[in-house]
Amino acid sequence: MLTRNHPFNFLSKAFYYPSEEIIRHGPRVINLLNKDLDCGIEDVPDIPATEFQAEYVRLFINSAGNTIVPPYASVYRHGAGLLYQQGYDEAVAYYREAGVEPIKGPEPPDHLAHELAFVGYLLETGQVSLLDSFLRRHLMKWFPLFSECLQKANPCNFYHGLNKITGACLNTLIEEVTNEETGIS
Amino acid sequence: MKRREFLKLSTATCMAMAALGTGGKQGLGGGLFSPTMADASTGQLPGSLGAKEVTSVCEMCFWRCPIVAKVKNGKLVKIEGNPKSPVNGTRVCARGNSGVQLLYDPDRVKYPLKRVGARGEGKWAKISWDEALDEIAFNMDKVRKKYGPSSLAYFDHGASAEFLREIFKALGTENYSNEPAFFQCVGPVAVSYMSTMGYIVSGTRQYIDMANAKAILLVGSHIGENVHVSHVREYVEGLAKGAKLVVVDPRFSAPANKADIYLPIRPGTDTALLLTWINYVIEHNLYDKDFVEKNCEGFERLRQSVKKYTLSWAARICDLKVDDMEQAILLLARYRPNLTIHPGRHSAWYGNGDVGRHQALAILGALFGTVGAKGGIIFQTPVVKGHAECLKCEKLPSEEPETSLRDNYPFVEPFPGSPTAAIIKATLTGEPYPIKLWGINGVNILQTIPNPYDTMKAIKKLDFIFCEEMLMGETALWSDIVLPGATYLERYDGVYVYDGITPYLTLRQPVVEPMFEAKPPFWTAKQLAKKLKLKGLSCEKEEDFINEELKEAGLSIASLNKKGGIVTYPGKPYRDKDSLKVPTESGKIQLSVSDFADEDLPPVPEFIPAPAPPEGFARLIYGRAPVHTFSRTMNNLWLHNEWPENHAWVNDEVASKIGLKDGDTVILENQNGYRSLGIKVKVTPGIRPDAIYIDHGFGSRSPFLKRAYKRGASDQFLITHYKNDPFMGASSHRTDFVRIIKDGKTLNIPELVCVPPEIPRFQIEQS
Ligand code: SF4
Repeated sequence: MLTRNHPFNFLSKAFYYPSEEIIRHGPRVINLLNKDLDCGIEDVPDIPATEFQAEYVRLFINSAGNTIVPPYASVYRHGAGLLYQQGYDEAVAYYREAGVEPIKGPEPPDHLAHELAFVGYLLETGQVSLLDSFLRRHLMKWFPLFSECLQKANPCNFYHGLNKITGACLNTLIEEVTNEETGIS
Repeated sequence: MKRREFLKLSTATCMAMAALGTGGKQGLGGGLFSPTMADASTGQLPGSLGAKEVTSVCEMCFWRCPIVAKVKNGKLVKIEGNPKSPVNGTRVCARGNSGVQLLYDPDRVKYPLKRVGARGEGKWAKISWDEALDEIAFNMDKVRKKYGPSSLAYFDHGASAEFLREIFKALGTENYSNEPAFFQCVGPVAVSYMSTMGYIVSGTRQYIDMANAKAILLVGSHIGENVHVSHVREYVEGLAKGAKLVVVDPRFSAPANKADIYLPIRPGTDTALLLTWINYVIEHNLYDKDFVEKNCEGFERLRQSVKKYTLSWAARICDLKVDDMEQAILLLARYRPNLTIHPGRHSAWYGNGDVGRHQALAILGALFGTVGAKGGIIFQTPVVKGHAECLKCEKLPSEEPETSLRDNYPFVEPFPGSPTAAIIKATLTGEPYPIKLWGINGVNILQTIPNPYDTMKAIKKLDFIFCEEMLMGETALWSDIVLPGATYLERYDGVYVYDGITPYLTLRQPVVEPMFEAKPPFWTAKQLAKKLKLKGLSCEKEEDFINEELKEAGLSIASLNKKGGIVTYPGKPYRDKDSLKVPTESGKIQLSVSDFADEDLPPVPEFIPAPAPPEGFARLIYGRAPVHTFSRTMNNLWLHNEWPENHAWVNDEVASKIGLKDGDTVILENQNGYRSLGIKVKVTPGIRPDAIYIDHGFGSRSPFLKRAYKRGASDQFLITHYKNDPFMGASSHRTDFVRIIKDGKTLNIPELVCVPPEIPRFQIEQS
């Protein structure tokens, strides 16, 4: 299993409120990842900071209309529609099993950014069977629902790309992990 | 394990990610995790079993029921009533239960937001608290210096709004505390009882004893549709013990369904009925002479003044049968003095005559000797509680404005705040002085104050507007800065005392930590005071002022919590009629209020007819859905599932004449051409043909509230014509009329009940 050069810390950071660095360099990384992974998405242009941030707020913080895309497991798992329900419990139980604790606030620890960073951590520490379980029984049970909602919300190129690339990375990873677990490679 | 490449990434990508600090091995889990310190045991009991219990006070409505929150691993799992509470015990209402859903609503305001689009467009950037407060402080200071202190206005509701109120007060504006709760709701009833009995028999609470009443009169009160747990319990206890019930309402409401006598009165004529009853009671010697002689003043003036109101006259005006009215008053008289003449609560109905209507209810209660009697109007039992000096903020030197927005309303004096309508008008016109900045806390002004179109126009004229909100309702949508407010489950407020039949003292305290970057309003006010260089709000944290307030009661937060979060005291609600002394100047009940006469207002209530619907229209009336509070809870998952939208009640005969079927979706159009969102029709004989009813608070226009958005119709967005009560300036809510639009076709409401000549017709051109 690879312990270096995975994209999950980047994906995690990109799903947080856009920092100056993400605004400045994020589109380029998305474009590079697109090329590497052959995702076939449109090139992401640079986006002015205000537009970038307003788009993030619209999509993930307080979004208008029926395009609800809160990035929390709890909202999607078991159809809860709320924060801090079973999806949250699941995520926290996985973190505990891995021997780590999410840094306190301001985001609930079942935020997609936390979960992607956790994937990175499991990769780095080679906890393959836990990673397999986390992906199959938790993250990939809700990421596709989230991803679909995000797509419907007609996101700007950056978040469109981020969505596609995250999906591609997770899907590839899940295959890899299965192979690893079953000894096929 | 075999180590191999996963997701082959180019060197360029890896370098770009590394430059962003997001390569692999960037701190533990991208810096978002730390090694587990806590015990990793996962053994859990199901549901709320084994949960930590934290006592607090509900704020899903303003009734403040004592509660116990059950918390597991920092997560709220259930809310119940505090078993030690003498008023609700373990019970909470549907909304009380659903506090969990407010706390964990994904639509909550999570971070300070700054508007980056046009006002009302809903385009935001997340900013830091520091930046948000800097911006607010800068604008408050700038506007104050440019236009004077009164150019700042603060619309607030609820205990948590009080801290920020101190800031507005300190900056020298008179326009703080413009509680929509007072100026759209309880103002008239508060003024009438204050003037008649010397205390506010009905404000936030109603000081009445329905549990021990032998008969109850409700005029337009919908107990059971508006649910306040202890109020409903007392009412139900009274009925269960055999109390007779008289209900006066144009609509067959939940209490009408339980009534012994139901009077489906013509809207706008309640005072005519009450004055007729007063006259009848006097003429037929049904009143408590001894009580009146000992405890009342102004009887003769009253007697003379009501002489003209006869049953046959009232039958025509009120569209009721003489016999029914007579039976009702005889029934009530039979049970005096153990009789609840309910004072009502929401009383901003018609502008003119609202104070008079509640004055008439107070007079009827006095004539029957119900004041201080079991089952009647009760006295308050003061509960000791201290005042924390450290909450005060020193006022900056500032000049009083030459003309006050309060000037036109002589009886607004004992209450703080300026009439909301006057503030909006001043903001629109700049007269008598400009208002250029609004702060809003705890209230959705667009769903609460009549003519939201004017309110929106006024907002556009402001230099700056900010709000503190939990959910992104319409008010937030129109703000320049939105501050994320902690819910009642995440913060302290003050110490609460209940001075009714079963007095107690309790405390709202946080049951979980604030989510995201939500902050308690005390913290916000304190930071803002610092930024504005105001002296005061010196307590470091909430616990300091609460302990100071508790000290006088011999308590502290710790000792109160040890006692189960609540301390009860013996109540002294009743008085003997021989030693009755009400807190008016003379100690007597004022059947005729000379203070009113001094201001050229009628000392004894008079019937002032509310204009009848113009041709083709019915009067718009509204009420409450039992599982909702104002417009605040429509996005709450559980409550939304219970009652997702409102329905327009249309009289069955009217419906058949205009071809309307139950369940049809229609649009309501008011007399000024303003239209509602789509609403389903409920065809029923349970409403008069001259009225259309909808539940208040639906039809949200904020797309940020995903469940509530465009569900049902908003009453407020149909209330564009209003009158102001001449006593204290409340804005009327029942002075608008609607007709129906179905499939693009306008359906005029046929007039099935004729209007007597004494009642003028509403002139559309003048509205
Ligand atoms: S009546 Fe219901 S919503 Fe209101 S305070 Fe009591 S429990 Fe809460």
